[in-house]
Amino acid sequence: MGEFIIRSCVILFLAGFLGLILFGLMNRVVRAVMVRELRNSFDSPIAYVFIILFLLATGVMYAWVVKGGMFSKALGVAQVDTFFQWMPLYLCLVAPAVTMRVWAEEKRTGTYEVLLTLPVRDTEVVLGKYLAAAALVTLAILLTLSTPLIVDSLADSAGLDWAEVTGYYAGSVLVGLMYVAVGAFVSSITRDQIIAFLVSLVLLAALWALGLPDLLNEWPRLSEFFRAISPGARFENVAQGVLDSRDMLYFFSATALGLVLNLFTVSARKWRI
Amino acid sequence: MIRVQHLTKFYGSFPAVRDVSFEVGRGEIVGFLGPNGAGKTTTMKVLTCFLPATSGTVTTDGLDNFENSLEVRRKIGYLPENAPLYLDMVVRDFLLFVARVRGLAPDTRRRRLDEMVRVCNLQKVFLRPIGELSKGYRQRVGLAQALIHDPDFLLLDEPTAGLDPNQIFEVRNAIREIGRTKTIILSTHILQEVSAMCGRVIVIDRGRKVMEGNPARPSEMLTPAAAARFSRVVATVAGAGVSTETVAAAFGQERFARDLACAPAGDGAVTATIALADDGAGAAEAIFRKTVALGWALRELRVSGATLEDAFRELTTGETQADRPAPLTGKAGDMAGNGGGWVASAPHPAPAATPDHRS
Repeated sequence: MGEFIIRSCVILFLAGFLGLILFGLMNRVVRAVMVRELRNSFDSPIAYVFIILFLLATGVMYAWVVKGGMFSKALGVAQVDTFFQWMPLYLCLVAPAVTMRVWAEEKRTGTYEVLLTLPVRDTEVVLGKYLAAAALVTLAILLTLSTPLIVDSLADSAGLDWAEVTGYYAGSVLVGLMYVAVGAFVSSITRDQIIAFLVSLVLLAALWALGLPDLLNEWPRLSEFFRAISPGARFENVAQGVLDSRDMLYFFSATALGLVLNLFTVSARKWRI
Repeated sequence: MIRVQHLTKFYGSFPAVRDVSFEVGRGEIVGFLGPNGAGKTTTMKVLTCFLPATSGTVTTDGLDNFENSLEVRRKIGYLPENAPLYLDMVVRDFLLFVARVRGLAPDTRRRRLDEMVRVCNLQKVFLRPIGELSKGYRQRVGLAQALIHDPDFLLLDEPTAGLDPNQIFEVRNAIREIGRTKTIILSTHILQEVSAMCGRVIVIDRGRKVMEGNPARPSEMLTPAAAARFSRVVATVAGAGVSTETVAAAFGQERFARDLACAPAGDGAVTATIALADDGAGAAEAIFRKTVALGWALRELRVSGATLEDAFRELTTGETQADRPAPLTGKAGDMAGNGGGWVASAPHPAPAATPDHRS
């Protein structure tokens, strides 16, 4: 029963995101901004470089570096736990790389002013840019499917537990969507892409690290709090299918918070102070 | 029409624009002139709804720019300073993007795109990335972007800054063609531009409006006393015994002459530029008679009043009349050549105490 609720929550969240995309496609401005951002990413080498680097890095880590990885004979069964274990950390690199330019570049070159003096609502632009970056990160995550597929095909006896893999992917996408919202917000407070990248990287990595077991053991008093705010611990919950709606609420509110803060910084120019 | 009433804009505690009011009617081309840092760009940003006013109101066709921002922006086309554009986009895609965001129907979009390519002369660069274009082309792409939805109002922030003379010519032609049917406000610090294109000029300095008028009749913008200081007669004479000394002696004694400069004009002729003591009524006749009496020939006789440059300097440098005699070397409002040297003129006196407009 609990598992049913969890799965429903995941599905609801993903459905909500899909709904956002659909709404975006319905809204003229969101659609135009989203399409422009995506085309921009795929017209330049940036998107390809990051996706390829991401796939290479995750693949290499899994195949040769991580204990219990692809070529570890010890287990004898197909399983990809170690592949996904570090996913929140990889995403700390990927999401900022995708989001670093979305606002900072516009501010630096001045196109910000052209864009925002068109008849658009700030919300529409924030949403359009978010959806484009989120789609790109989701695509990168889904492309890693190659690894589980390979593992599954190489397995001697039992193949992968695809329910488990689905859980991992759900968790990864949730983490990715949240990271993109945070990254886009950070990008909106600076004119410098590199600063945007580094600040979001450090911020996200620090948040993730708060959930590391070692750290939690180090400060038992704060462990409750750390566990509550870290996406790392939440991710494990989602992935193992033992979580409850609080985790959903966490990802949902963290994503929403990033977007709202992003909207705040964009609209701040209009405050009469 | 665009109506600006008591517009004041503070950046933190810095007043960028202070109590500026003006109106721009349909079909006008108005030049917004001022030294760098006078508040031109800030005013533009408020007119285009990018920034709110600290106090005062701006309405466009009766709609408040702050309350009805979206509707106002639909009516406006804006080219910000330096034409910032998405450099990695192809010209066509960029214009289509703007058209899409503005909600043009697909067939209108195609028609307007063709129209823009024609008006702004973009055929050659239509499929090239904006980042590869020259500054002149970028400026014209910016213009096309501002015009694609056929707006009633066009706001151009320094549309010819940084262009070479040929590019300036092209951009001005494009603006002139557009200006036949639209209301245009263009900001500039180039006096020539205002004379060449605008029916009216609004001058602001240190955030305040200091004058407004017809750039073709700058004397009218000055007080009669100030205007008189700039009136002068230029006379070129030739004949036996003509030299800079004799000409200076002949005209320098006259009652109407306040100051005088003589220079050889080649071919034995001498040009005398005479600053007049009053409005100069009768000075031209007196010079003519004197020349005839001396047996000289008069090759040129010209009376001129304050140029736009004179008026501009008079009103924006904050010097009092006693500080400075009217220059004798001023030529008709051509400021393009000397890179706006007037901007860095005499130090400004401390601004008068003003009421604080912050709300």
